[in-house]
Amino acid sequence: MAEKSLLAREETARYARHLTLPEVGTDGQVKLKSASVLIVGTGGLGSPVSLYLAAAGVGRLGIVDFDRVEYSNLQRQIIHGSDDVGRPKVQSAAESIRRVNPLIQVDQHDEAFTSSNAMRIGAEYDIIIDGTDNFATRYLVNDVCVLLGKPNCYGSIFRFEGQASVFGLPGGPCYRCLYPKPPDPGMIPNCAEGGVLGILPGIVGTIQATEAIKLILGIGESLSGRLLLLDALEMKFRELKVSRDPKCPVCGDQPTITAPIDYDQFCGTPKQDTSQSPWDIEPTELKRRMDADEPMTILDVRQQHEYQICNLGGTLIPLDELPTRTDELDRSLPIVVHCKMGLRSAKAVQLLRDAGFTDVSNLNGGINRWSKQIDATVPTY
Amino acid sequence: MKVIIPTALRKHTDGQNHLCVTATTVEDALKQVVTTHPELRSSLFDDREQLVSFVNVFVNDRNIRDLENEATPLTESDEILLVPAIAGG
Ligand SMILES: [Zn+2]
Repeated sequence: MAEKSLLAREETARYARHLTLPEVGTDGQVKLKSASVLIVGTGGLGSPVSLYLAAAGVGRLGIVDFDRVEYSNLQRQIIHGSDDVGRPKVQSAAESIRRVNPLIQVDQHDEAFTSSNAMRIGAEYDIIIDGTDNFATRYLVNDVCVLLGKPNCYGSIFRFEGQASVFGLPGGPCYRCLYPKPPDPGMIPNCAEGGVLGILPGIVGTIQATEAIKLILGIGESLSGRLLLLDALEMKFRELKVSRDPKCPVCGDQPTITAPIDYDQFCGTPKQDTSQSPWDIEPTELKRRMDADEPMTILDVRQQHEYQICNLGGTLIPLDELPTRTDELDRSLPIVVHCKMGLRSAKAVQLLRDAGFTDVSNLNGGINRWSKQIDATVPTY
Repeated sequence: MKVIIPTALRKHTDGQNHLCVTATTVEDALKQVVTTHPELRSSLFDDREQLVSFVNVFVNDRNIRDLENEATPLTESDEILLVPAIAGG
């Protein structure tokens, strides 16, 4: 009697182009089937990564995201559709994945990836893919990968630029070997502020997925030790060497980070209704002052193109120009500073107070929270 | 030689994707860049004039941390890359 075949009939039909590829074949396809990959973030990068890994037949995919689908996601997050707006991203993504390939298992983690659950969730998978959109979670994903000894297929995007690498392989570097510490909030704009070409995560995400497949199959040259840079405007790829730093705080010879830590207090996307500056004011308080016609300056520290999308009629001085333009502000008036979400304005408040301004406050949550709580006619972006 | 400016910093260079300098060391090249484009300074150096940790400087494909840091010597054909951390996804 013939040996029981390793793949079911519907699998051999589905994966035929893999089975005839000598580097994959039946053995490789079985490896893919028995592999598990965790995709942190179901956004621009997570979309192509999940869809392609599902199509390729990776047996078990975990997806983590706490967010809901918004209209502004659809320009690049191709796993979600217009009908999904308002739904939990993991739910919408799981549905798309099942439509592509019902033969695989999808685990939905409808929660934020934090120091308290990251080790538990990460431990269940062979490979972790960093498809997050903020520094806090990127550092967390990196640290968890090193601590658990799992490879991190890394990708990151900004405007027209992308980065990809594989971190956390034995002997290879980790993300902290390259960037030991996250930047201060406001130093580097996130995608929401800086904008991003919608196609870019498609290019970078498929590179991450390719690296994951290669690791599972044990073929080719991994991107470990190399940082791939993409400039889509010039359509130029550059490859840079990255070496493991023996003094790295997490993967070095004497690591100081031995458990996951949260960077929320330092960087990343702000949470609603939490303090951003010691001088926060609530949107309702600003509304009260505006309605009472109290004399004040509303200072908008976003960029010109953001001001064009929506504004509160404030004086526009972008944060990076503020240090040299403080003399344009009336020191005798109270100043309320705002930006999009509240982080850049918190920095501006500190800067103005350091420069001797005494009555300066920060609109908590920025113009986005204003739009949600006070005036829905102000567009969000 | 060319100093390649990443998208995130191009607002400080009037949109130019690279700057040309004539320098013998990385330190020299970076000094020229922040002198001709002072707005770049706060993105590259901290208050103590140290290179910030979230921007890596590469000469061709090598990180200057693996070479001689800012004392890394340069020749005319070298390309200097500024590579800031990016977080979008
Ligand atoms: Zn490391």
